[in-house]
Amino acid sequence: MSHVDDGTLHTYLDGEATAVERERLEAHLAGCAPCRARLEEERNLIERAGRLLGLAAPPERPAPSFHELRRPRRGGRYGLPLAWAATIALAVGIGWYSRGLLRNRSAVPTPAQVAAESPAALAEPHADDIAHDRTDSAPSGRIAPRRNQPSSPTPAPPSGPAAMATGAAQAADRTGRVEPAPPQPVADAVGRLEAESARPVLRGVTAAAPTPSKAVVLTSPEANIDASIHRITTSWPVIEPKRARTVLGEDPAVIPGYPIQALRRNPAVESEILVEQLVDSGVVLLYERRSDGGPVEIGDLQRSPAAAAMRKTNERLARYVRSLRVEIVGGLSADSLSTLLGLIR
Amino acid sequence: MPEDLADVYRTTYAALVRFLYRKVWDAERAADLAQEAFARAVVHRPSNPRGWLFVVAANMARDEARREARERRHLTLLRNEPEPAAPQPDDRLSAELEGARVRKALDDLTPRDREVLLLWDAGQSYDEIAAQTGLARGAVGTTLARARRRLVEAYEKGSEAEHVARR
Repeated sequence: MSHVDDGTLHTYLDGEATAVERERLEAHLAGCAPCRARLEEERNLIERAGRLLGLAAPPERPAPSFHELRRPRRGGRYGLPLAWAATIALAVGIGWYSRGLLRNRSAVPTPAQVAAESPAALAEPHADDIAHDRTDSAPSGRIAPRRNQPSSPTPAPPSGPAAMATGAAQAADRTGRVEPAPPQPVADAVGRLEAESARPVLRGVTAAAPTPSKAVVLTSPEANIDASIHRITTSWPVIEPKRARTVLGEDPAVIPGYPIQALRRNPAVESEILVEQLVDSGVVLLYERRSDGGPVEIGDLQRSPAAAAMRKTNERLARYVRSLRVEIVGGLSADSLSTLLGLIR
Repeated sequence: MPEDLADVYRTTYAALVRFLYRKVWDAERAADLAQEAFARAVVHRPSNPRGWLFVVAANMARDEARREARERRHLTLLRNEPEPAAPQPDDRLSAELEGARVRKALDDLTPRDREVLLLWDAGQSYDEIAAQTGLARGAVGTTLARARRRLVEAYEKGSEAEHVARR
């Protein structure tokens, strides 16, 4: 029989033995071959049990941002807290919209028209809604901050956006991918939202540029803030990959599998670069700094409450990623969004 | 010094989901409950968040199981067999079968042994396990040894039985 009981062996193998226990056991094992054999048996047992448990483990999923957990949620089988769902749904809605626009140009109304009257055929870009200069060739847009979602992270009232949100989140979460749902419900939801808030919150514009990727541009009435942020980003000088590597001290993190539209450097911050990648019909901006360069922020743009609100939205999205700051500009489907965030992690 | 809850979240969320999954056997539901537990922690601000979270999670899962047992008229989560599934690609089907076998083997353990094993697998230390289960710290190793052995034995016996039955 053995000189050492199972419990002691397992405690030791689990790394939970005290120093005294460890020394005593190791001293014994040094001179006792049978016990050494038993130790190996138990080690294998632990490994086997661990592997079996691994077979009965849930698939890994990215955790929602911590700040979305502000309140205990009411009952419901939504896979995501509502506020996070609202954020996704906005991207989903935009994604669906842009897909619809790409595929079925004649049948899909733009949000702008929903805001106006009834759904109609796709319109030309509204000049007055294009609130930013485009200094680079590919169009991109920005998810506008919603007026009725100021500083608190709690979700909007259960109607409008949350209905859209939960529907989208539910659909996205249940199937693991976004079903090719018709854009119509999104248009209705947007219309409802605008009707409720009694002023236009989102205006959609198709950027009809002669490039392979089209994006829906959404701007808020405070378009000048959007414009300035966007302009700053697109005005940054484009650099070579080699330069980016030098600036960062390592290769820039990119989302594998998606084309890199540009690498830019921040003229104001020496250690920071921007990676622009085309994902679906949107553009993802990754702001990266040298690892000793401190946290990334968009410098002095937080003067207005709208910009602060947008930064807050972006902060939520940005929290997914440890050392990168990610901005998502334009349309992304929900499964792209989570894949993307998963990849970056 | 109390740990920042956001840090606890970062380090413990996945483990909590894993722990809950072995109770509710539904990944989405497990994630829901984990988030709910963290949301409550934000409100209650426990001084020992990690331990508190696992206790709360275990209670929530248990309450939910009781509620569902009352509400359900039929077992949709069968103890003995995997759910009859639509034709699936082979590797996914076999993974599910294996998962179901492990689940069945887990059922073979006593509740305490199972709890200790699942807590360990969710990253709890012996001290934390002792605190949560009421076991003496010195008994945790013995319990784990027994639980692991029973799990493996039950799993192997279960597979054997299946093979015999199939013939």
